[in-house]
Amino acid sequence: MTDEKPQAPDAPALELSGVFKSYKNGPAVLENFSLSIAPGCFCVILGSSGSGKSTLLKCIAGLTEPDAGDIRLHGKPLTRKRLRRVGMVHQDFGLSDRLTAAQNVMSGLAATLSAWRVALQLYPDQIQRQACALLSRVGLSENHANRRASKLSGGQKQRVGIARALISDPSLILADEPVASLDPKSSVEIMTLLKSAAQERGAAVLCSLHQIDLARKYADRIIGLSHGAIVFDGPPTALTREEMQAIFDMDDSSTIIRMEVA
Amino acid sequence: MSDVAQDSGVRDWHLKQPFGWRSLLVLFMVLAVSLVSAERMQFDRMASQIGDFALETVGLRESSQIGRGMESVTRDMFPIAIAERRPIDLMDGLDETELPFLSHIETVDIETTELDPETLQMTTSVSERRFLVEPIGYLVFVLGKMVETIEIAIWASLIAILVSLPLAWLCAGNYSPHPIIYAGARSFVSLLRSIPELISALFLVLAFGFGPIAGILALTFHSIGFLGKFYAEDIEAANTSPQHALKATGAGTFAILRLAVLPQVLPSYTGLSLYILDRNIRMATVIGLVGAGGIGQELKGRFDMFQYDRVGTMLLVIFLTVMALDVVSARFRNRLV
Repeated sequence: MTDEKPQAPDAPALELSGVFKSYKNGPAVLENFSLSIAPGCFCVILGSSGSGKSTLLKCIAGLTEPDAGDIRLHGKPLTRKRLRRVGMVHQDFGLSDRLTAAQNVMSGLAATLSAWRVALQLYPDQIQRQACALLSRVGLSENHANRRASKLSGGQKQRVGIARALISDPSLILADEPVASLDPKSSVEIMTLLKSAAQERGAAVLCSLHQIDLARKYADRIIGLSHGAIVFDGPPTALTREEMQAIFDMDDSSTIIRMEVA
Repeated sequence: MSDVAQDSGVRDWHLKQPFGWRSLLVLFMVLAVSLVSAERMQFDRMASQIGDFALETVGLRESSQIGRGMESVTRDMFPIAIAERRPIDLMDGLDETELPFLSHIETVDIETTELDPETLQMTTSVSERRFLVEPIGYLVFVLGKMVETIEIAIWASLIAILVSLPLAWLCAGNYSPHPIIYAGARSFVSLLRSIPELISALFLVLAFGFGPIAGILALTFHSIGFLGKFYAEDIEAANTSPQHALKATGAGTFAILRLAVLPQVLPSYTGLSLYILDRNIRMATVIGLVGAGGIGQELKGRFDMFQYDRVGTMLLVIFLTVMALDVVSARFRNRLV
């Protein structure tokens, strides 16, 4: 964690300092939260429900305003325009069910298009080709591309979600529990895809998870979050049983921790 | 089983019952109020009249008020008027060498008996009167009026849909640009909805004169009041997940509404719009009663002249149209939604 704000090209992909966030009539979710993520780092936020993972990601993605604090991308303050270079993958996929997979992917660039193109859904050829290339990259066929999102399986939907996050050529990808509603096999496939796709582009990833095994397998760096505060920060190998207990507020007898530690 | 029953903790539980004494009290109060209201609404007279009519139909009574009323209408209504027969001497500019399609000229000798003032004798003179007879003339005329009615309804629905789409944006709590605009748009829509078509048509006929313009506007206003409200409620109830996803890409309000909200609400919008079209066609037949164009105008005129055979033709055409419309809109809905 750094406190200085360098403007150099190797500035952190994402830097939060002193972020406060609380919801109406509730306790603070994030209190004086600071975090810095290096470019190209696959960073997993591990925590139980209500630990503030989603709120943190929403603050970065511009879905909710932090009460106070500074969020910087590559050393520059977060603006609506810079937000376009941040891709986001959602827990419930966030696809428009009645649009096709390709239309959903291209909607990731709607912010850059004129109103009449958006109204008629007339995407420029270059964007269409880009969407095809990305859909093929995430393992979908032409047939899938022209299918309505509602007709895809959960795993396929999340592949479309990843393609949409990639189309804006992001330097930072946010993933809010990307595999929470998927079966174990699809979960592994999606996480592998997310990691490899981010690596190809040198994009940093900030991915929230509650599955310890997936976090250990994919993360370069794990951040343990509990009640809005960082209780662990380090590589997966450094994650010990005590720290897992602290992250998940559980005692020794919890099955999943026994399984993980065994 | 038995050890569950003996658990003293569980024995103290109280489960909610489907109804209690309060529900019964409310039921009795509703009953009392409806008894008072039924008396005011002359339900007793209705019962006695229906009873009389039932006795008449089984032959236990000579006549009843309902029977007499229905008889006088049905006697004149059937057979319904299909043909049109007009005296030629009242028609200007009829070219007898080129008669309208399917029509012919009928010549009738009319005997008139009158008192000759000079001889004080009754004399009978025979004069020849000629009629232009169109065998399906009246039916064609009524069908034309029905088409005009449907045109009124389609225009009203179309304009209402086009106005309501942007209006719904202002009326939707989660996308309205400002609370004041939201309140203003909502009140405007409620106002439009609160004025019945027949009343607004009455005033619009004063402003625009007899004819379809008043009808179209009256239906449009009410339809906007209906569609604006329900379109907006659909926007408010739409799944927020795709909307958030698009917002996270930095997209603006218009792009979110177009790409994340519209696809979701489209099936519901289609249903609402078809309902409004259906309703407008039925209402368009009625607003003619106050002179706002369409088949209702003709219906009112013939009804006031006691020409029940022509009224019968129109009722049949209206009935068949509404039935056909039901079938068509059901199919359309199935395919689109």
